[in-house]
Amino acid sequence: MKKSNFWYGLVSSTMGAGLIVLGFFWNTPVSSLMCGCGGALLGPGLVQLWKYRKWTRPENADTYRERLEQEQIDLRDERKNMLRDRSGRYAYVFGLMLCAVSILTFHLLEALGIVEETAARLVVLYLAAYLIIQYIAGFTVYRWLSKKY
Amino acid sequence: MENRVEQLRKARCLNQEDFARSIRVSRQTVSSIENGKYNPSLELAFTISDFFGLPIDEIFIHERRDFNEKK
Repeated sequence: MKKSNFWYGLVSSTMGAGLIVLGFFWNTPVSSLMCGCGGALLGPGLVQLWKYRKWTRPENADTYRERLEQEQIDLRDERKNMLRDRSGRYAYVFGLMLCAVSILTFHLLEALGIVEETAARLVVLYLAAYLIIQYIAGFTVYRWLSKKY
Repeated sequence: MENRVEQLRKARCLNQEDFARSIRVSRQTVSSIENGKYNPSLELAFTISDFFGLPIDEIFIHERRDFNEKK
């Protein structure tokens, strides 16, 4: 395993721990956000350090080589690539549908007076913008790929 | 599309894992090809053909269509 993995783990976990300590002891409106970001950095950082320690042991060298080879095969495997593409397509369509349904739901909740008007309008506008951008992005990327291949 | 991959692989006393590693695909892909659930790309079909040292149409059975046939 590359030395850069160790440095990534070390920097990430140190920054994460620092942010958590800062979040605990420095009382600001963003303290909880600091703790959250800290946790998000600390966790993967520690995992990376543990992985580095495990896979750089001489007795694990052969297993690591095999794992790397299998990883490369899985990454380039055409059937897995096809499945990734297809699942991405389904997730994209599902996301668009979910967005559209959420817009209708929030509009309905606003009309029934269950959700405050300003908040509901903000959510509806945000979701509508997201829906349009997603659709345009999908269309644009398709056209770009179509020209490329 | 039907194929003879499983038969040819077994004739060479290879398990799916070793065969998959030799042609640089996952074991699941080999299994799907053998079961007819997945048709390989032309590139992979040629790789398989090279591996067995047989022409592609002796491994992958394709029913030919006659385009000159009158409807």
